[in-house]
Amino acid sequence: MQRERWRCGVLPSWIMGIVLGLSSLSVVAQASPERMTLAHVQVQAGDDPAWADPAFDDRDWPEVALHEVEPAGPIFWLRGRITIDPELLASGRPIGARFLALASCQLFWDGAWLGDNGTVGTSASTERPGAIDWLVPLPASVEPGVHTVALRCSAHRRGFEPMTGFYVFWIGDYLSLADAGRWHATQTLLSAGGLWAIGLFYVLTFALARRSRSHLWLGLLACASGALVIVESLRALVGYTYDLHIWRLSLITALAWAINALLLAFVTGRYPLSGRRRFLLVTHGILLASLALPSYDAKSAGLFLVGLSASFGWTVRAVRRGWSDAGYAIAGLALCLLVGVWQQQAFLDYFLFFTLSLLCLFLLVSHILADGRERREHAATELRSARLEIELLRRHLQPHFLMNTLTALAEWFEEEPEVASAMVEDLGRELRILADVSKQSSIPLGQELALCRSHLAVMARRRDEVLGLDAEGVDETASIPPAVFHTLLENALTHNAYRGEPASFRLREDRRDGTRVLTFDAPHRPRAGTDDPSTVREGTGLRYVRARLRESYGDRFTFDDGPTTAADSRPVWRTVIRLPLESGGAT
Amino acid sequence: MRVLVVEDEAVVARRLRRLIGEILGSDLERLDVIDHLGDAIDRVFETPYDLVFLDLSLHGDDGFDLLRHAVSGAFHTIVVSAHTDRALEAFELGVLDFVPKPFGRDRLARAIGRARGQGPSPRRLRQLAVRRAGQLTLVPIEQLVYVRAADDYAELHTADGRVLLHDKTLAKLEALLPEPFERVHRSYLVDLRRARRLESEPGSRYRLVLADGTDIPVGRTRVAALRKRLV
Repeated sequence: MQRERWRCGVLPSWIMGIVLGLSSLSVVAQASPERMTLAHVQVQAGDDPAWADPAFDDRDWPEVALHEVEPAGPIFWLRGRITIDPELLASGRPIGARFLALASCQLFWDGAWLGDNGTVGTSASTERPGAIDWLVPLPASVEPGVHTVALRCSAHRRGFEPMTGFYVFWIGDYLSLADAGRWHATQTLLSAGGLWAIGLFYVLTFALARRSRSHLWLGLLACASGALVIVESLRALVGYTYDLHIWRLSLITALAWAINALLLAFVTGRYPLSGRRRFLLVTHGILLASLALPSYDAKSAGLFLVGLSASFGWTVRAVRRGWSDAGYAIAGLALCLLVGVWQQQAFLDYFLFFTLSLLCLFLLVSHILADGRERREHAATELRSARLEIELLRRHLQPHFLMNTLTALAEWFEEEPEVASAMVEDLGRELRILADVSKQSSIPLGQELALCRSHLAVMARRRDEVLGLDAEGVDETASIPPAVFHTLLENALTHNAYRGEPASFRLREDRRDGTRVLTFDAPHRPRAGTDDPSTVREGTGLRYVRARLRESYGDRFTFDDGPTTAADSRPVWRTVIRLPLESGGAT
Repeated sequence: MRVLVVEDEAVVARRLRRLIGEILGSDLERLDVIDHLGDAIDRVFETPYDLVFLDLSLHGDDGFDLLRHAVSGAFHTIVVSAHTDRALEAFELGVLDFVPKPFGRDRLARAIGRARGQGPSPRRLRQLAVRRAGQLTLVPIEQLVYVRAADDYAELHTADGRVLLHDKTLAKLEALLPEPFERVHRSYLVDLRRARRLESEPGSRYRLVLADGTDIPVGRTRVAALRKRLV
């Protein structure tokens, strides 16, 4: 049933993932409409209007691939030749030029001025920055054949030394050049919207429903991924002047860092394995180191490579330690790594929103599974506590205790009413303490001792025995799960006959090496016939004690018991409970 | 009357001792108190008690094992227990009464009255425990055809022809055996569901013929009542 339900929840996520995947591939597929590219240019520093002339002899200018052009002076010129295919003009549709560069420029087409992108200047103060993505229509009269393109440029306001300041120069169908980013933008917005919806949901769940930190990390991770997807596509979505490009790149790097830091926080928080602090310290160190890589693209790639592979390693460890639901996270991380390695160049430009969406989906699935598991475990713990409470109370409502006590009371009332009154008081005190403590998972040792003493008082009168408890030197303020020693006392009283000679129980506390050692000695004088129901009750009694200790201390306690000889050479049944000393346990 | 009290709670044992003494008065020949049955069971069977008060915690099965042994004895067994939820089972095993804790003098007096043949008996026995050489044999009541007195014992005659000797007297078994069993003669208890006809013999003597052909003598004083039941 449980598995079925999860599968139902996972199915929509898969469908969404597949849709996102296909749509991103369609972007890649239609990314190259009919267009001509200016691949190489001649570069010359200086400024001369004659350089716009197609007849100008630029043979002594150095030729450089466009994307390797460096600004050669305060103002510099690029000259190149581009061939217009007759087919492009056949449709009669307007054609245009699209220029992507970190520069302001003036474009001359066959010597004629075609347009200004910003204002070219000799210094930062005289230059007005142009759009990083500039589209300009070509004259309707343009003919097929070779044309001269001259670009008068200045690039004083880049703010950094980019690996490449000039990206591309295209001639093509004007409308399809203008539309090129539309598809991309649509899907960017779609996936960013999805990521933000997931992100907000989990951030709010954390803030309002007080859920675990994993909710917060996953929420912020999805929000940051949505933001990165948007910022990556900002050029196509809104356009901006080239001087702002450094801010966009810085933002991308910051977001890439945030995403990977959050990813690490999520996987280490979701799957808390040992050595978490050291792992985070080392990985964050490498993350910071990758910020020193030379280009912004390399920085982002480094951050993702470190973050994804470290998270991958961590989740693989988690699966090995039994967190089977971490498998989904592994699948998502592996997919991202594969796409990253396979498409190193296109990763940030085309695959980012696809992989980030998919990664978030996979993390979401593993988070939902783990969250469900944790909730079931939590419910089981609560149920266990409730059961222990009931068990403790029932032991005092069970006929053997209650009816024998009442019968003894009846006898005292008829024979020695004062003793009966005192016994009623003791019984009242015991039941009152019991009602107080049974709901709690831990109580002060002093309260436990009071419970034991009132029980001994009742039993001493009921059994006509002299019973005492010596707990000298124990720390009465330290905590202990309720009715642990009370139960041990009950067991001892069931198994032993203390008639004739006073019986003194003894509790001692020792603290060493971060451990609290509680030693409980019960005088060992077994009854002749152990055919009582005691064999059954011993089992439930000790089970109760162990369950209570486990509830408070997990596996960090030990419980041993057995017969031995006390310091005064009397036989005792000794129970030794070792608890961790730090406050971590019973709270 | 010779009485044994088996009770491990000191004050409860004291209460039983005191109340039994008060109720039986001079009829009390002997009163022993032990705190558990366990290994002492054989000694208990050797002592000629008339009545045993037994505190068994009937919570586990051990209590019932002991009880099965106890009810095979010559004495009547009265259970004094906190576990009232198992009273019916105890009755089916053959205890004469079940006194729930806590108890007062009146309730205890009623139980002792039953043991002395006063007041109604429970008659809810479902199986009879028979001790033979320390071993217990359980005889379901459906298997029992009739019971014949044999000195201080009783012969159980079963449908498959077996004859087993029970430690209890016929009078004690009469107090325990359920309704269809009828005392037809000083020495006979018969399951009337198995009776076919009542025949008279010369000398105004009567006999009951059972389905399997067995003849059971019928006491003269019991004929009228028996005839009424058989019609």
